[in-house]
Amino acid sequence: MMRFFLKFFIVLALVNLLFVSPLWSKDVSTSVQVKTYAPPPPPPPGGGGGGGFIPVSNQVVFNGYAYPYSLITLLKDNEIAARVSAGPDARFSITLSNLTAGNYNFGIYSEDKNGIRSRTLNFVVTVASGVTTAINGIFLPPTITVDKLEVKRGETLNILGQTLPEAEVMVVVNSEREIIKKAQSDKSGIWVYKLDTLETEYGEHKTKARAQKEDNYTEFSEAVSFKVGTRNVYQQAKGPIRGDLNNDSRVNLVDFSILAYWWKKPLSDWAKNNVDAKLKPDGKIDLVDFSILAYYWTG
Amino acid sequence: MKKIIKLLFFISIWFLGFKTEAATLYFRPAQASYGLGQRFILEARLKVEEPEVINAVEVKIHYPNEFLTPVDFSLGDSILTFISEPEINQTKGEINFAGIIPGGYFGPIPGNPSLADILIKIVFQTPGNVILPSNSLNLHIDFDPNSKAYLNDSQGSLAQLQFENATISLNFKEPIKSDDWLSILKNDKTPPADFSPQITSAGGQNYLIFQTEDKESGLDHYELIKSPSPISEFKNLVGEKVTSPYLLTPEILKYHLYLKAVDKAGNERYAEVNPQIKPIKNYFSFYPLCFIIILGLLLFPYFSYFNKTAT
Repeated sequence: MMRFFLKFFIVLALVNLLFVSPLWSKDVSTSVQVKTYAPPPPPPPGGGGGGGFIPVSNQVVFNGYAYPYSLITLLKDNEIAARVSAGPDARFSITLSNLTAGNYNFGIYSEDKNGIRSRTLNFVVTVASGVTTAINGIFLPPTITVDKLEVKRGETLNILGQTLPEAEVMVVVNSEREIIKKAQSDKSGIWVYKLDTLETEYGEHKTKARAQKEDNYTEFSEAVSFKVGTRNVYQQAKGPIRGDLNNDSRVNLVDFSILAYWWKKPLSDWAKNNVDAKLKPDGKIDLVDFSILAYYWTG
Repeated sequence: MKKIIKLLFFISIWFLGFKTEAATLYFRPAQASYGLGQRFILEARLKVEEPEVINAVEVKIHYPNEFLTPVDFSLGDSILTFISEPEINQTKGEINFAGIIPGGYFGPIPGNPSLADILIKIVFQTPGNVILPSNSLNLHIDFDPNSKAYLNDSQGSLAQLQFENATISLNFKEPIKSDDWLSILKNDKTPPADFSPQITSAGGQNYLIFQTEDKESGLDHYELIKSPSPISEFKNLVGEKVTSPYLLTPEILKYHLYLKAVDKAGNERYAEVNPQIKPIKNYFSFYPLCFIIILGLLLFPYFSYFNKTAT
């Protein structure tokens, strides 16, 4: 009896070693620790001594307005460089220091209290040696969403979002004839416009908004779609982000790399379902897919 | 006379009414003169005007391959994130590249000291010796009319694109000018920027993903260094040239991994990657264990009987 159990557990151990070993396991989680090193620059030629090296800080300062207490993300050359919160008056300031002189592509966006992201504003800036570059007067576009994907004609559609506190919001509905309406944001920047859909025709429409406070205008928000039809279809909870190929709720270098891997290659079934289907599902990866990915980039 | 003025007025109104926004691909310098054996930099740039926003481009450039040779690129100052390395086809006299601008390029911002709209810097070399019918020869470097730019509109719509080509005069009598590219390489003492490689799983495989930048001479290549033991001194280590994404096989994961980014001037930046692969499932995973138990239960009566008969 004892011999049997001995043999049995030897077999068990062998089978586990062969088939269940971590190296063969398909479902794995990974974590990466990264440290960076650069060899010191060579010493300056010639002798001499004395004096001190005064580091020159090339910096860029971003000043502007988002929404009260909203989270602002700053991208530097497509990667997240800073995240800050806006104050109660929606004001924010971000300083990036110790930049190498050269051209940088900065992007800035905000998320409102419901996690809806604004359009990204991009600035290509030349950072010069020993100079502080200030980018002032940034007014992030409002966030915008609609409460129904399809609204029964004659009923009300709520168009809502967040922007500067106590600002006037211009809401534009692209219909057969353009409809322009106004709303007012409250102290927390929340704004709602109740659209009487009798003013619109049946069919697909788009709406966008911009805010004005005193003499300052924001850029337009992104345009969101809705349909005026014969029934009400309510907006579901926030779905997956378009272009998020590895399902981490972000669109960044990882997704770009996955897409770049399949560029100009015949697509496997996996790539058709997990890459192409999340961008322009046409059975190929081309620049159109990259353009869509670039639009939804979060860093 | 009044009729002509009226006519001109209406024509100008007509054209203004139908003015379409278009992005422009252009070169800088658009015109220049170089002697024999000269290296020079030609920048391909993108001009956009509000309200147009461009987020992807695919560009082909034609050059006279019998007189010019592209010897290098610098991508450090580019607004593009390149999909792959730019390709040179010297036989056809073509350069191809494609890249994206996440969030889109809106054009220059007021007050920026220089036009930061560079797509690529191409380093050309003129021939050391050539027989020309005259003292100088005009060489045309053109954008292919099928080059494309895409709007930042979530649909991948094509933007209207205009082209402004370059004319380079190859001149026997032109004295050799300073080599700008050599100066850039000599003066670049700054290593590429810090970077954080990431590991992601796709299609049941693990991939190493990495990218960094070098604002001066531009990035040249990456090397993956596999070491059986940890490395403490990071200088002049040599590894396998790799590109992102890089497939991580279980064999590679047994090593200590280091990525080296090297710029065109030879400056190095290292990043240490310690992938810690942890099985999510327990060591004794469920299905093989069930199989073993069932097998054991089936074999138990046989072994019991065998043991009894043996005794």
